[in-house]
Amino acid sequence: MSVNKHLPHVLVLPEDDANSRLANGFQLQIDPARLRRMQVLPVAGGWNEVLEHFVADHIREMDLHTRRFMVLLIDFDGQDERLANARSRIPERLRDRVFILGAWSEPEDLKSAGLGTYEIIGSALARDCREETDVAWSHELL
Amino acid sequence: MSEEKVQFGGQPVYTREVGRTYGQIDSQLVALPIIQGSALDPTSLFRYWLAQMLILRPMPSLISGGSKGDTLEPDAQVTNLGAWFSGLMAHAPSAYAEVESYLKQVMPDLNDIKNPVIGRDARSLVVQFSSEQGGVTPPFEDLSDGEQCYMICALVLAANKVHGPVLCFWDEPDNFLALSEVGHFVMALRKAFQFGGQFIATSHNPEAIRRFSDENTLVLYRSNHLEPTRVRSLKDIQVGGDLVGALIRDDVEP
Repeated sequence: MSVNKHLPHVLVLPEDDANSRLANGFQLQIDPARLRRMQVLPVAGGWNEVLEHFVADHIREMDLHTRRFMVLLIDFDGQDERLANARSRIPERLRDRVFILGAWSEPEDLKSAGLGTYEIIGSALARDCREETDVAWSHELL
Repeated sequence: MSEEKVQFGGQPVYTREVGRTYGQIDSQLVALPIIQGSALDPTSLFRYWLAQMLILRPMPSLISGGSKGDTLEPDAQVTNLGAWFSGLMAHAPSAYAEVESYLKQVMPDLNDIKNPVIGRDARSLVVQFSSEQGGVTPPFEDLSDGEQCYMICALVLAANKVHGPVLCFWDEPDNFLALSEVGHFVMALRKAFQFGGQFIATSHNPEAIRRFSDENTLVLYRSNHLEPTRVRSLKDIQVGGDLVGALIRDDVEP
């Protein structure tokens, strides 16, 4: 029964454990009644692997399940061109349902910057969304 | 009761001999547990907290929905689930809303849970499902093992809410669950215990393990049966790359 595919739901595809834990922290802030609308997938093992998994497994599934959204959680490693590179792998018809997010460098730097554990950072990002603030999201490393 | 006594540093602070009453406590009863039971006494509070502890390693094949009496203390295998359900509902009828709210998320066709009297002091849980095609009311023991675990999870969430905070230690909560459910199941428990109580789980399941972090994961390891189990926080262990991959390779040694 997992996520109800007939309702809007979001799958998060994280690059690595650090990003997966950010997503866990985000999910812990979701209202219990909506908790099952979000599912964090196993880690892909690298930013390029995220994109390869997306292309190989998820494009077809997203075409089948039109209420599915996806978040690709990747590290940008300070590379300007990575976002454009990632976007180019997303078919035009899915662009309004696929979001590419991640640390500008890597999540380890967010932790080193004193923002807390990955879960705490993820929770702070979720709180910003709920309260329509920009405290965590405005950090220069995001 | 023949005699009861409390000494501190060898000096008696309380003694009571056979046949003597203490306040309104009958001479036949042991008075100390009653006298010590102050709501402000730290020892009493700790004892109460210990008594509330839920230690679970459910065995669905041993669980039936039948019960005689009620309890707030499920046994480890949760064979007294029916009595636990009755106890929670008797303790706080609002527990039903909590149970129903969770179960309807995981089983959207759930309509009702009933615990009718089936004999002298005996009850039996039945679960009613309905959809546009009609309805079905199976006895509790006819639910799948995973569905029975959903019910246990629902009762844990309700217990923490209506008579918590509780400490819940669940041995392998991922057992019996569909792979797509493991993450949701663990996150529902983590979410519910975020602001009160404590949830501790053991697991070998990658999906369950991924729903925790370095800071709240302990790795237990022993190299043979003659050595004590070593316990170390995951954050103190340098695991390179994917944790689950390292666990599969058995490369995570405390």
